[in-house]
Amino acid sequence: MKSILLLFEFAFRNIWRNPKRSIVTLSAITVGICSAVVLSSIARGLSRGMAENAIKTLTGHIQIHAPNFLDDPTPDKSMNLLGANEISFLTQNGIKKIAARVRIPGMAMSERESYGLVLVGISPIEESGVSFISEAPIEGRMLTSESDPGIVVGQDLLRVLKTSVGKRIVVMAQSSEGKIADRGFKIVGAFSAELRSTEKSFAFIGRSVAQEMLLMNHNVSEFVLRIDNAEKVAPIVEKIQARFPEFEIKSWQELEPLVMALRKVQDGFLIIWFFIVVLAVSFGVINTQLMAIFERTRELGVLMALGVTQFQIVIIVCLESFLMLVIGVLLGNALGLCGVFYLRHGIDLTAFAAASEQLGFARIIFPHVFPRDWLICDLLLFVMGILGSFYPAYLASRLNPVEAISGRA
Amino acid sequence: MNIVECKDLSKIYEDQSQKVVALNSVSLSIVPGEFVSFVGPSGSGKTTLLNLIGALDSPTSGSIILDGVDLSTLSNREQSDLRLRSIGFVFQAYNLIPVLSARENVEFVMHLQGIRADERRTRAKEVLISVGLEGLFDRRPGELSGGQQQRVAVARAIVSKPKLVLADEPTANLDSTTAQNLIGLMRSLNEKFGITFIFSTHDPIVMGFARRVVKLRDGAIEEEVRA
Repeated sequence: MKSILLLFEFAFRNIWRNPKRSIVTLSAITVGICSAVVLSSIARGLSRGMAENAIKTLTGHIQIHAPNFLDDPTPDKSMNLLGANEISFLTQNGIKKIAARVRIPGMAMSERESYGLVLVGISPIEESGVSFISEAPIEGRMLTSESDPGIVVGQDLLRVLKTSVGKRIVVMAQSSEGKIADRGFKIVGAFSAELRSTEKSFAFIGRSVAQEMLLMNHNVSEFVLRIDNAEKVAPIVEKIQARFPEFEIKSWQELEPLVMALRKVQDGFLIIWFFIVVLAVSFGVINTQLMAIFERTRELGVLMALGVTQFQIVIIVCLESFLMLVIGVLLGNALGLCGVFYLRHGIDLTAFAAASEQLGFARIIFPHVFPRDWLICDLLLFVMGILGSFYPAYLASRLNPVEAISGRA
Repeated sequence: MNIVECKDLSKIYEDQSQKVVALNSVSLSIVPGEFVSFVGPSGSGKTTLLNLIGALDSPTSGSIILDGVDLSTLSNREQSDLRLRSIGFVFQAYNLIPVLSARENVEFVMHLQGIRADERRTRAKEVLISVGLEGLFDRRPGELSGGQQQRVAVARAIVSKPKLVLADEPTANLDSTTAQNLIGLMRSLNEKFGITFIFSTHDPIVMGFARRVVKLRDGAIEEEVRA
């Protein structure tokens, strides 16, 4: 349409004919969008925190196992360490870090108590940048090498076993020959973790020590891989699976179904929330436009008399809504960004630690801007707002010019 | 060829159960370049006749041929296009667009016609100067007097060189001096550019400017007087 620029400018000026009303409507749009995007960022931060916790704890982004290991994690379902060619393949396909581990369920016993846990044989150097253990706060010391004879347990396990750093515990697990293997370890360190369940469930020993104890030769139970972007894991998994068809390759998304389920619930919740906000805001926009139409009936009649078509009248009214939405959405997003920036140091849920622990949430939630959510919210508002403004636009376009000019419409 | 040809034109408004005959079998021809005044008391049908000629309303019966085109054959869009390109309107209450300046009001119609920006601007200024509004181009309607606003309305009506300008009681809200000045301006534009003007009035001084006066009463033509 040749005159679209004129109609655009015309619509923009019309918005400011009644500044108070426009400001109220803009405020509604701004606050609605701002609340939607800030809350979505907090929700995304929550699930992202859960995912990061899981990934950082021991899951990593990708795991490689012998077939059926995940169903029945025994030492006989093990793999040889990766060779130079295999490591080269992995690094060429986006893998940034690799940690090989022995990982077997076992039992820890102190003089007073016993507790079931997962015994993890690690190479401390490989764990750097792969799992939390390399940087976790430790009372005592961390394992120094894969042949370190000590054991590092969680603070909560110390409490459960009623023991302390420097004392000895006995760890029992099934060996690769199917027999019970046991060994006494001196507790050289006790780590703290984000979740108590982590502190209670895992005990770390040197990988060589574990292999020796469980009669695994130089085999390992799993390879844990890290990549740059956790969300882009699927194509990498496919490539690795094609290269290692004899192994089971799992992404963190498959290994952490709870996190993924929470994400799905969250997606649904956010869409419903966006819809409610957008619906409320749209009604505000429609109401404003209806008022504007009733106030400008005479002028609309004059425009028709001058040769403005019914279609152009629809365009004028919809453009006014569109411009109001653009301004409101921009302000809402900007304010939302400010809100997220204000909360950048996180929302501390330590006071609700027990509840958040139960749900697997991190103690501090860092809001995370998830552009897709913001885009969906903005688009939804545009679609609803514009669709809604078709009603006043239609009413305006159906005015009889004679009645409108004479004020009888 | 006549610019306006009305045949047996009737307009009946139905208000609830009451029928009001606004026009009753009016036939009228107007040739290009005429300066015609519709006069008569309130309710005589002046405005209704102007609205029908301007394709703003449709008759209950009868036909209107405008510059050779039967208005009843046109769609809404075609009628809008006809108004845009062939007819200029001047209203009693000026009816300028308040968010646009005097120049922008005048440019508005040309903008809709797709005329280039530089040509629009030049023509708008020329026309505003011709109606005596030099120096007031950027004032919005609220910053102009009634007479000035009506001059802007006249400028808006003639700027796209329409074949016909319809003015419904253009001087009704003006004092007598301003009214005479305005109608004198319209007359000079009629003589200068050959634009056909039809205006309604019941002001005897104003109707004195008309070369042809059509007197209406009770929706019918009572008398025609040519100067």
